[in-house]
Amino acid sequence: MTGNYRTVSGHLPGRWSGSCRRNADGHPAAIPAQLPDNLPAPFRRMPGADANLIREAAAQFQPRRRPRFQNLQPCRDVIVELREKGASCEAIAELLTRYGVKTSRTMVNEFVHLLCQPRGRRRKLLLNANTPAAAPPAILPPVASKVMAAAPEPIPSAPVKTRGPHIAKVELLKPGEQYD
Amino acid sequence: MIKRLILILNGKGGVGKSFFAVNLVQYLKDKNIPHTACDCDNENSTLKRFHGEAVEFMDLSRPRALDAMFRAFEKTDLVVVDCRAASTEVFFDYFDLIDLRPTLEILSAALTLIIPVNHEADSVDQLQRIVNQLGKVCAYVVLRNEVHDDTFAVYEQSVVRQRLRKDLGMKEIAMKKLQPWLVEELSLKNLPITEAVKDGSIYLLDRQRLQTWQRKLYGEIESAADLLLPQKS
Repeated sequence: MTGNYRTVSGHLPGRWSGSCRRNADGHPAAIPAQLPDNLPAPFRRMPGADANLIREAAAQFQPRRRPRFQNLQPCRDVIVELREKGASCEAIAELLTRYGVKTSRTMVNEFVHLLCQPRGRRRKLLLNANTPAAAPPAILPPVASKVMAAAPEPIPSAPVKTRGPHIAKVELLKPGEQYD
Repeated sequence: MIKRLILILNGKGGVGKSFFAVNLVQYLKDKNIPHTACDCDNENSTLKRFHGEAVEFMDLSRPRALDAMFRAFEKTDLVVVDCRAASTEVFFDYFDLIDLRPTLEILSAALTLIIPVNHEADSVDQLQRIVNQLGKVCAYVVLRNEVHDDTFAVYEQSVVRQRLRKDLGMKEIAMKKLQPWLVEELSLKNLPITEAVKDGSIYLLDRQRLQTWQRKLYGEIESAADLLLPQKS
């Protein structure tokens, strides 16, 4: 085993103090088989690796990747409603962020795009996007839903400014109706 | 004296805002009524094209651009602004920021909106939007623009028209159809009607047509003079 330990100045007693030793090629010298007994704990030789333990740990390992749109799924109805009102993805992202949902315009855009897909394709896209995210739901706290529950009700007098399309909808009097 | 700020406003394009503005400013010139005219259309500055240097330009992309229409009260008691299409929200946002009602009170000024409408639902929808937003803060003059079509079925059946008439003291004026070749000629020569009728290069009967049309429009403007001109307090 060739040593690639770093140079540590002033911590090692006797001949171990100062720069590490190097061989004729300029590479750090191999660690001698017998290390002094008085080395501090961090510098003692590691116990031999147990391959079985590593395999077991690897089998249990789950990547810490959250399912896609985890934050947006609880707000799905709100997003659909806003889109029907002609709100832009930017405006939706802004509103959700204001009420504590961590998201972005791009994320809302992708989510809206996903909602536009037929059901079968939507599921396929979601599954593809989430693999290999197999994190058990119990591990990840439902952040978004908690935040949404705690968020205050939107104030009716402060409508969201949107720049979406506006279709003329003139209120007409019904035949024979009088304006009061 | 109660000063008067007139905005010629409708978010819909092509409803006759600038055409009417050119003629309203000409009326004020012809009657020697001191005024300041402002154009905020950066793409088609029609008012500026017809009335030249006398018209101030307001660049709506600048945050304090609209201050100019209130600053103009330092010079005259009447300010006329030709608003560009799709600028309604710019004005709403500005009015929100300055808090319109107290600002008008401080300046001893009244606001009149001249809102041209035509046969299209979009123009009436814009009227509805403006009335819903501003309510009683201002006075309303609805200009029935008959230039393209003299039927106003949507406008006449609309709730907003009844509300304007019964609750908001609106006045209606009409702008009659002007023969298309005359509109074309005026536009080609950048001539307001008062100058066109003196232009010998224009066919005599056409000059007569222009003069008749102008007289009718001036009559309409005068019928709403209490909402369009400064008033003694």
